[in-house]
Amino acid sequence: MDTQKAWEIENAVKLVDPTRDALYNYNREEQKKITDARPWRANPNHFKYVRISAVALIKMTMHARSGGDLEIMGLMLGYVEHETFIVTDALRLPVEGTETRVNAQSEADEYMVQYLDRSRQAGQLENAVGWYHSHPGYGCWLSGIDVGTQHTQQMFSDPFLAVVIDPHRTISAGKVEIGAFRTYPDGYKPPDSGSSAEGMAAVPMAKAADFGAHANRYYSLEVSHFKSTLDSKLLEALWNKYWVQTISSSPLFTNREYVTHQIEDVAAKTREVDGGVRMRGGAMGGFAPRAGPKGRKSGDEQVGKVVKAAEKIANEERMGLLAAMVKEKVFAAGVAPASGNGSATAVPVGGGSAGGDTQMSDVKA
Amino acid sequence: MADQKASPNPLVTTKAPETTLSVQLHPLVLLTISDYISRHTLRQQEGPVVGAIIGQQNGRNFTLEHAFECKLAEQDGNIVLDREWFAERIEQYKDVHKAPALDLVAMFTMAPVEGPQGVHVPFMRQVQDLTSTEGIMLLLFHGSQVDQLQGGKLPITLWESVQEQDGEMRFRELSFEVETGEAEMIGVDFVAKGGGNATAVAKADAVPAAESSRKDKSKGKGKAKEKEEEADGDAAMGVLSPEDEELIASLNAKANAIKMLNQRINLLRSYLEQLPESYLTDSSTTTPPPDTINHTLLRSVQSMLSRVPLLAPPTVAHPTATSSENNGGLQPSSIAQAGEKERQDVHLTGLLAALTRSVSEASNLGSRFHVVAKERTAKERSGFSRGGRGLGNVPGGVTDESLFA
Repeated sequence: MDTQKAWEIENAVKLVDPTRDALYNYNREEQKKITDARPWRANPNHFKYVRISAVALIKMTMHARSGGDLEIMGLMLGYVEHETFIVTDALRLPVEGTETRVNAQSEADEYMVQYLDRSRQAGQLENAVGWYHSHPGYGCWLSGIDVGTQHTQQMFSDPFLAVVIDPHRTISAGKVEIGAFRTYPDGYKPPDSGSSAEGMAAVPMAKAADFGAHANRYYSLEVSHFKSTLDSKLLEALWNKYWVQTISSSPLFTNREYVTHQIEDVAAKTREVDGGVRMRGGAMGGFAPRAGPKGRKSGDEQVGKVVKAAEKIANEERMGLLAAMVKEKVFAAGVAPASGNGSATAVPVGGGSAGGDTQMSDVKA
Repeated sequence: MADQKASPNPLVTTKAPETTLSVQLHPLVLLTISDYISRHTLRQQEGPVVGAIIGQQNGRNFTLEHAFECKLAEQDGNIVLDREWFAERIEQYKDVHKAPALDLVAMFTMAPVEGPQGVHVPFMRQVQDLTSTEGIMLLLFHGSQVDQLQGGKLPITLWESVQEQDGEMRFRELSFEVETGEAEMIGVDFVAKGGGNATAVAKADAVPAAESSRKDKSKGKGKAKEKEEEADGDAAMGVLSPEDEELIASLNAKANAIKMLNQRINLLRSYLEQLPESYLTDSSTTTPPPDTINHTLLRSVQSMLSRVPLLAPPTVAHPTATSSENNGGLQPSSIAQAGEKERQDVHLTGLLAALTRSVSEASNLGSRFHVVAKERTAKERSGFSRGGRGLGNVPGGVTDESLFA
């Protein structure tokens, strides 16, 4: 057909490497076979890995960030292979709210069904393999409600995966903070009761009880991402465009509010620990504990958490300062920060920016 | 199409636009198109690669933010959008992009470098008809350019449609710039850094019977692990705390960016050095400058240089102030003051974190000391000479150690 040819005049170009880009393929029969066999029924820990496509990852991160302090939610499309979830795409759901409302499944159900229907008509055959939502500022783990949602999903539409993204920490850490989880079936006791979620030390006070109560009902999967050969080429070209922002970003400024919240939280935790210590050691004075080894242990644990949280904040702040100092060194050559404490952090910067310095001043001269 | 290759594309108008559009392209659009092309090709789907791009419109400013593929239909021998499908799909996207509200701003497809083709005309007419706006742009992805990308040029061009007086539709090329949101940039950066092609990898401990033919066995186990390490930069040194790794990753990104800046400046320098001597500074020369000089470029270099001192804080900009060690006479600029304050805040947080740790460790010491003291009292009182002490110390000691290790 003529028109067809005219449209596809450019499509003949080989942009895709069938071996290296194999994850972009989709085999309906094979998926059906896997779904029928249901290997995940036999082993609660069957799925161990998640691989997320570049597009899906960026979509989810942006969606999470767009919600600000509100939790957002969406679905992931993809398929399963052996012990791995392959996430190929993500879609937003028209649900937004605080953590208690994020499971408003029914509102989104209709949207979801129609959306997937349309996608299939356009040739995107994947099924939904999971849902994602954001935890703005309190880390990647599953709350009680999340566990309930995920548990239901695993019962009725397995294979299903839960992904949590923390947009605030993504911004402050400069890398995508993401966690992927599956719940255990009822009555299953995980062999090691150690918690699987990350960033445990930094769970804010308001959420700590919720976190602790459900931490052993789910486990986390290892998340990695993939991109196509075409993606790599484009990214390389893009880097030429967006490197400017890497230098010019000022995390100290953009994250000010978030950091203030974090500090408030640590302060509150400190007060709590302090109160606890006073109660226990009141009669004897000092730090001597009266409540026996058990009480002391939990007290020390709390102190440890506070220490970790405080150090995390300090570290993030230091990275922000580094960014500012790099900028200063490169663009305002000649004025070195004179603060004594800063010299420790200034050392690694000096070497890296030396080239930039001379170049800049050469041009100016 | 053959005749178009020889002569300039008849669909492209050279007429200057009345107003200029400012268009900002987000990387996600590009990656979505790339994703679609990869999928389309591998799954051997039929029909051309066509999709829509949504974004914001603010007067003559456009952003291209999200993209999705479209279902097509045939109408009078032309390939056009499936009306019903498209109307519903665009509503679905609008539903979830309300703040800021996004609407259809462009369509994308693949095309040769020459620009829009005849087949695109009825298609764009239909789109205009569907949306009852004329401002829908056309983004063309040039697959043939992908392997010869140079200097950060992207393999795409953007076109706006123009209604000519003879009633025909023509296209005019638009310039655009790449713009990223903060989260988007981190996402793109994260994806770009982490190694990883999309080879299907069988985990080594998977059920052997379930292998499919396209597995790359040699890369089996631990592939995902490796990748994670790659993503964190060169953290292969072993025992680095996650904080250190984060620091290294962010410093690496900065270093790369600075290298890039350096490259760019070198490029400009070598270009400027190649140029012949200015005939203005040397009044004895009579030869006029050659025509090959790119005046626009020189002018923008000049304007950039004259702006640099304006942007830098005053105490920094004047060489006299920077060269003299003591610039106490000058008031530090407000930006310098703000920077100083910022720095103090950061160090204060650092100090507080260190203090917290000290307190915790002091408390730790206190409780251990207490155990020892208690043990000693008990020993003195009862007169036991051995035992007890070592054992008594263990439970508390071990847990404390593990907590703060």
